[in-house]
Amino acid sequence: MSHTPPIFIKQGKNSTAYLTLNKPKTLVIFVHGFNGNATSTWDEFPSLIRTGNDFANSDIIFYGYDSLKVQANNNAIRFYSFLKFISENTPNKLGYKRESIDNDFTYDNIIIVAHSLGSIIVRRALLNAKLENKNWLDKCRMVLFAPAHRGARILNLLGETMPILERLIAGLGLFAIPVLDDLKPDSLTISNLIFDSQNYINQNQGNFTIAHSVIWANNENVVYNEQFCNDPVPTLIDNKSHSSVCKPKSTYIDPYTAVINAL
Amino acid sequence: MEKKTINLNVLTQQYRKKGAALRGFRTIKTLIRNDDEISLSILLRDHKESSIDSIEEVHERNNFDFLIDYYNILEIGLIAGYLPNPLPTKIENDIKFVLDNKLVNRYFTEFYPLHLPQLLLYQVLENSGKQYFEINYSENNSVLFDRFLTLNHNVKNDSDIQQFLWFLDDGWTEGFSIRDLLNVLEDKRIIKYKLSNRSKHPLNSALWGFVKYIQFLNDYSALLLNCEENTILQSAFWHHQSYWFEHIKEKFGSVIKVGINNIRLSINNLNPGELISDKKSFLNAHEEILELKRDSRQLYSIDNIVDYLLNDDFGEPLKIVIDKYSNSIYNKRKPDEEESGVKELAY
Repeated sequence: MSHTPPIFIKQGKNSTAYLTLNKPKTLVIFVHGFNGNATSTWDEFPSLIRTGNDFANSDIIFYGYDSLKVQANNNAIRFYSFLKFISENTPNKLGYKRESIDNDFTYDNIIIVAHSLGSIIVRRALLNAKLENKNWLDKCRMVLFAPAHRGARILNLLGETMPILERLIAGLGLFAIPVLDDLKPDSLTISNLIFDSQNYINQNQGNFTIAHSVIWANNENVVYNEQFCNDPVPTLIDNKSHSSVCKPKSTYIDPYTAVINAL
Repeated sequence: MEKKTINLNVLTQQYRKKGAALRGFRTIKTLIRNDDEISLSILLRDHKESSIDSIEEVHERNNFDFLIDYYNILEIGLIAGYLPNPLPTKIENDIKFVLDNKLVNRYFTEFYPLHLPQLLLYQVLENSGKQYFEINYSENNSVLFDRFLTLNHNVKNDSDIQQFLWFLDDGWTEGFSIRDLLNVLEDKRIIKYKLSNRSKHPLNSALWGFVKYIQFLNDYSALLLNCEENTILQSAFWHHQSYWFEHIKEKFGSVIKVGINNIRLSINNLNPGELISDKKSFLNAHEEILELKRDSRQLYSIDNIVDYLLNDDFGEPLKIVIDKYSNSIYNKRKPDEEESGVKELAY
């Protein structure tokens, strides 16, 4: 094992860091989707990282946020604040001090792995970073699983991602879920995301809007599998659904490999 | 630095040296050092004998519970083979200082019996510089312990879940109680108007908490299921929730099941037209409502999860270990009697 036990950090909701015991070069941040959870969305990712050596020089953070009560763009602002914090401060501030790291330390690369709604949060956060001319933006690479950046089929989304109790209570109208409006394919949130990204691409300043890799599930029936601006051709995974495509297991290591390839 | 020592340092940093646990330790340390037994016995009293009414006391006791939880986690970490065994002397002294105090001890042995800190204290008191017990290292145990830490953190740091558990444990907030929450689940019209304009309303928070807590129970039952091969570790995980799963299991099971049943009633009695025009509901057509009604049959799975977790058998393996330690200490205090088999304590 080359990482610390889980360290619960203040930023986000239930965000959890696994810090390498070696000197880190790369930061890998995982961002869950609608009704997801900082770590459980990624199933065996934490244990694979902890028990293997592929991430020996990477700090890992599973970032969490409230995906039900809060609008997507509000969560994007919070995630952007977190990115600023982690890119502009020593990771020793995360709760475990490593002697190999000094106060001027910065990561060489920042890999952001997002699932579903997480892709909207991440893209908007990076656009915010561009607005403020953050120099660390060039270090960021996106790996996107079943991204919802072109919208989702709302009923299917609720059916696949919400446990029965939540679905019944939401169906009864006992609580509202504002982010559902943001996930419709013609929402302002998505339209503006595409417009702003394309705008930077047209000005030859949009490299940061292009994902390193995109992974689609062949059994997808939640998000619309449509190209986003200048993203690469997605990798299509057979026999996986919207929720399972990002969850590695001993018999399904494609998600793990996709992240390693981005390191 | 050795890996298990790093694990211990990180856990101690997170669960003992900051936040509520640190505040709890400072309070206890001051009272013990000053021999202020009166204040300590008032602070750590049985709430059934004398209720806890002031906010300050609720906070002080909450801080202390966080401190106790650190010792819970240490014991489970030892059982998982995650931490140095034996623990460093400094940590052992800290454990003895707090847990061996007679008023503190009474709190977690008589008033609110918790087996994990009892076992930890026994092991430390019995320690003669050797391992507390033998254990074969297993990577899988460490992975399970990581999962446990994450689940524990999530449930402890979610204000909605804490609001629900506060209601479940007979607490009141702004004049509302568990009864009001159950009424909301049965017929939302009763007090829906109170929820409509305030996302921070205690009933709204408790409603979210109820939903999230059921998910936690689902995840926790999966954790227990995944460590069936290590019944001691499984038992330790179960004991960590023993306040809910054992001490108030009747009320716990009843509230959860009544809540689920009230949702069934709500679904059965819903008005489709009203629901379709309700902007909060995602339902837009009669067919969607029919599908939701069909899906409501799946609620039975939650009853099954509750029944699974409330099974006292999970508690037995750890209780057997504790009984052996307890007998050993008892026999040492009566040297004329035959020593019990300490070696059998290894598991």
